[in-house]
Amino acid sequence: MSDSNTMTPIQVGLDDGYAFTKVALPDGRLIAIPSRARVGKSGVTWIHDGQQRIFEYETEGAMYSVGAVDGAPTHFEGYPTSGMNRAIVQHALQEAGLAGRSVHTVSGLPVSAFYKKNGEQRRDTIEKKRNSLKQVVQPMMERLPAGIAFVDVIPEALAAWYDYVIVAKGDEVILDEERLSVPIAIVDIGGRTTDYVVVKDQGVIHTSSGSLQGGMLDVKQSVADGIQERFDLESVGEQLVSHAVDHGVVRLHGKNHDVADLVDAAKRELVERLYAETRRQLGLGVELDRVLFVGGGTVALVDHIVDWFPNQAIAEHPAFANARGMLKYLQYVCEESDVA
Amino acid sequence: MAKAAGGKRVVLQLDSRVAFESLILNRLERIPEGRRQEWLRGLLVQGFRYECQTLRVAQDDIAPQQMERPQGRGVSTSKPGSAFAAWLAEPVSRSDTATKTNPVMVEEHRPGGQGKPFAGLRKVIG
Repeated sequence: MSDSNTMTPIQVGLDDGYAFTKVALPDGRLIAIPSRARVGKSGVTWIHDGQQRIFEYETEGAMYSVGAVDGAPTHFEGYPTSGMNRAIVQHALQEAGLAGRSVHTVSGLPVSAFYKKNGEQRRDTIEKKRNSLKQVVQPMMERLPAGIAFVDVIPEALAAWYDYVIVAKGDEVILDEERLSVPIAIVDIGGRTTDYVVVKDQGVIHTSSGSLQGGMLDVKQSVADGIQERFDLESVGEQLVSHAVDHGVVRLHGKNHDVADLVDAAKRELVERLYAETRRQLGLGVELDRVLFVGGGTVALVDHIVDWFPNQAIAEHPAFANARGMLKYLQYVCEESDVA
Repeated sequence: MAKAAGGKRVVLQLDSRVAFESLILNRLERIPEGRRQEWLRGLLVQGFRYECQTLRVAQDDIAPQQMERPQGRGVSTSKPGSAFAAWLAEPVSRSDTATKTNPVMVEEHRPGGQGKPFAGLRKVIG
């Protein structure tokens, strides 16, 4: 990247979820890293820098190791404004090649963290998130930090709605009049939460919008518990569990063990909860023109959710729908970034 | 814009920061000046007809739902089944200017700054 480029802020859609952190860039690149980190140094010396898989970052006087570590759980209440979150976000920006760049970004909060039940915004929480992301995070290797100069925060699932109605066709970007004019529900199956947003007449219907405390991290936890019980283990590493969820196999004492039944049972348990909550929020969806599924959980659970609504659809690359929407919001909607 | 003989002039201000209104203004600009009045009148009539149909469908849909509800569900049976359905039961707001098929004059309002093309969509967040 040339030095002249580093002076111009780059626009980034930043979906910093509990399970994965996703980045959307104006050149069309989409990048995802696991939201995986732990407090402290990695304790590993890398012989070749090119093979380095754990990276250290410092923020507010605390050190974090990000990358191929056994990550500490991210599913705690204050994660979106924590040092761990900032270290993971900085790592995602570094992976996107933005070292030394000034960044303008739009990020998100779960719907229930963004709005009160009556639809009023939780301004303190939103401001806290904004301020947190602006704090300096220093990479502990020979790299410059990516500096976040402007942040706006929007509800996560609503970002996917912006992605849906603002459509890029070649060099042209247009508002899809048809999508804009009809009631649409977004179901965002994430790591810790599943968000529901209904938009009608360009307004959020708060009585049908909110968050369910449930997502793919629950599947991971159930599988971890199952492995511990089945193989009589006191603890099981986070990376081992992630591999088991992805492949249905766990490797213990140099031998592979099939745990596909544990993964399937955990998924079915989550799906049942999601189905009940989705029916509670959206009914049969007859008044909706479209029910759009997005989020990383949509990919993992696609076989289980195919026939929930006759008018349902799955967004293109659903795990990145929020990040893409956040980028579009920044590029075409949010005017504050112009004066930052 | 020519004054329609025997008609009543309605002045309507559209805000280009609002997405749909911006789309209408953009479309209007692409129509030859002499045909704009007729296009706007057609748009208004079509919109009003659609509103009438929506009202009828809403009423038709809600009534059977209330009657088919299983017995013994208590006093909340007059409400639609899902939380989302509640908006359908709400009264449809009507614009005063849309109740008559009169000629409409559109005055474009653009704020001073250049801004973002779809800045009006910010209001969705609330």
